[in-house]
Amino acid sequence: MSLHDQDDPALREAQEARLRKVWEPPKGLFLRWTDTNNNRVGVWYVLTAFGFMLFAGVLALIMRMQLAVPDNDFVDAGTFNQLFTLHGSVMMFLFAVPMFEAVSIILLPQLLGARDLPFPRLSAFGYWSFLIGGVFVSGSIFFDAAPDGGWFMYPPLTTRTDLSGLGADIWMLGLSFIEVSSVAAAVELIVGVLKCRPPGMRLNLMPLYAWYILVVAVMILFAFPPLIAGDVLFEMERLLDWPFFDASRGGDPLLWQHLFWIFGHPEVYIVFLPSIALFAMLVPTFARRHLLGYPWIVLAAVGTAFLSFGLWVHHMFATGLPKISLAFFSAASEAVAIPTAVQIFVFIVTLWAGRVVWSTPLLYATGSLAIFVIGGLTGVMVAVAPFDWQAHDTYFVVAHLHYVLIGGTLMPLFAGLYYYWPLITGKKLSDRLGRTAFWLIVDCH
Amino acid sequence: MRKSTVVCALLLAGCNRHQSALAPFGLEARSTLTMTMVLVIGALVIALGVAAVYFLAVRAPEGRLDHAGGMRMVLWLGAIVPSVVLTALLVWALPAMRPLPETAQNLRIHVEGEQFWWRVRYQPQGQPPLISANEVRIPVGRTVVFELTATDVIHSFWIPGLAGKMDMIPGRTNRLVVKADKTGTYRGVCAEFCGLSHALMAFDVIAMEPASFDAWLAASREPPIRTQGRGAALFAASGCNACHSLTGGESIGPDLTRFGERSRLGAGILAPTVENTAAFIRDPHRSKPGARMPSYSAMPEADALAIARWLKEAGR
Repeated sequence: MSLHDQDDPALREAQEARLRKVWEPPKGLFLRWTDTNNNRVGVWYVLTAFGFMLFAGVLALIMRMQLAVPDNDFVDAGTFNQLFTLHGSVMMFLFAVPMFEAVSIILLPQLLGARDLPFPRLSAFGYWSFLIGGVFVSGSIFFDAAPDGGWFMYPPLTTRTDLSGLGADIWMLGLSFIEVSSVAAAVELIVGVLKCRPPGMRLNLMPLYAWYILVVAVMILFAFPPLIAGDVLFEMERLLDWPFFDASRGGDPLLWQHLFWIFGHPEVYIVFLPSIALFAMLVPTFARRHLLGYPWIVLAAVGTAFLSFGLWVHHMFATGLPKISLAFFSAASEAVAIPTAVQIFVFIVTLWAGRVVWSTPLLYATGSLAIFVIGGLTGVMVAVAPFDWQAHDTYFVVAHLHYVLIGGTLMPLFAGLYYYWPLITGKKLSDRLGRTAFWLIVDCH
Repeated sequence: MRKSTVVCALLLAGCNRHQSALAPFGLEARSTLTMTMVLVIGALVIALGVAAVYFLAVRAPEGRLDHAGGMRMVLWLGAIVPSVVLTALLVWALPAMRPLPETAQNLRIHVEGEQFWWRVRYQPQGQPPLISANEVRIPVGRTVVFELTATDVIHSFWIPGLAGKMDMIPGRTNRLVVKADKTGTYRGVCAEFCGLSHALMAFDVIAMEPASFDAWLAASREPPIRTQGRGAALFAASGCNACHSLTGGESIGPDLTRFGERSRLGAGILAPTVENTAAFIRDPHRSKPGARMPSYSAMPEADALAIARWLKEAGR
């Protein structure tokens, strides 16, 4: 009886050694940073994005310190403008979007049973672009050269070189790196979801996380180009004096607002849906049953994505656009609440039907839902144009968007952190500390 | 902590009668306040409802809800009820977007946002325009049309007690039709981030009885009689009149013709005392960073005081 080749232990060992060699991460002080494995790059990505969040959080603390008493002279007006511009820009471009890409780069191959994403070097390229652009933008505040025109950078305040300094160029050029890295990650994730599934896993059998990532990545591909186009026009106006946004020479400042918000509104859902995707993974686990209504969730996610491209003008209700178009965008802004409600109720009925295990991740999910519902309902309020004319550009909107982002992005990320930590490190995070941290967050809120 | 802050803020808003959307003195702000109350109560009810459903959901024993029941609940609570509520909200709220009716006879007030002050031009029908700055007077009970624009950067014109805000965008003229229904002195602010002193860009709004408004408008056509003293000479010699008009003409900086009767100095930020005015002349950037007016730090304080006194006394 002849043995099969594969039955020879020495041969198998040699094969395994060769395989390990091929997949061995590069070593050495410099070469280790040339690694392209999704686990490594993903962890760098997460840590960097988390670092930027802490940095922007400190900026917010300095702002609150300044605002604690009237006529405070803790920071001057110029620094304050840099602080809030950088806080918004860093949280949006250097934390929320990259964090979703980072988490997906780690999780997606594991969920799809793939060795890696289809273009590992593209992931690494995206990460390094993100790091360079991010350090460039956030470092500018140490040289008193940070952008100071608000995270929305409305021209003409920001395009007139006599009114705004180097900061506006730093914003445009630095964040172009982030745009490149986001588009790179989007391509990577779309191809990853579509091409790297194991045999037999059809689209309608994928884990919901993969569905959400597919939807969000497609959104990035459509949402970022208008911003990139706007950036190019913006820099051409600043550097070459081509008056795209200068009304006195035939341009229009509103052009920027359209380009910015047709990116900016889908952006909100780009950072919100991946967090809901984490819910879709952990809620069934802690309800001890499968999620009810898989097709509903998928359709709701696609519907949210589709609608989110048709409501950017609600950021421009006070710009004097024709009332009939405001009515259209008002209706669309309210309509987007419906797929969101469907997703929330799918989670609630899953908990209802199952047996709830009060784990730390579920605790965070519950807190996040409570906060997000307030954010969502205030969102419906500002979608009503006449109310928005009063609430627009006030603390009402500031509160609304922070409720949405903390409930819809930050807290779900914490839930995901406690849920997926063992997958990455092999150890479980402390439940006691997790619960303490949760109650601290809720209490300070 | 946060809750007590919110309560304090609400109480403070209750006390603030001159710059608050919760203390309306105009038709639009009044109807928006009603709408706000409905929206707040509706949002509270829905938030509590979702919380109650969530509470029931996590307390329910396993298997209490089967698949079909769960999907019915998603259909009703997630899709049908929100659709009905939101449609009703739209149908009820959108007609409020309709602007007040206006005619060609209405008083038009042209306001231009500048870094960081307001250029105001009253354009009554059939009369020559009247130029002013940093203060808007309107007659109660009459429709007034604001024509809003800007030349340097985007500003936003917001009188919370009167109506919602409207952006002032270079190259565009936006219209805001308002009708005040209560006399008094109120405050408006710039609501679009416009640079260093954005937070210091405000103006006074004085809602007057129609008769006294007409009288004020007629009286304001005559430039005030000014003494030709030291203040006048210094004003001319220091070049102040290169930017500031004293006769109601077009000027680069804010018109100072009726400076004496204004209730605030520097676009709604300082009490218009002689001392404050003199300090503003010598160093405008201390109270208003980024203002376009150059500093006159070399001017002796006595001279600045003389100019300030002279400007003040010329008002009626």
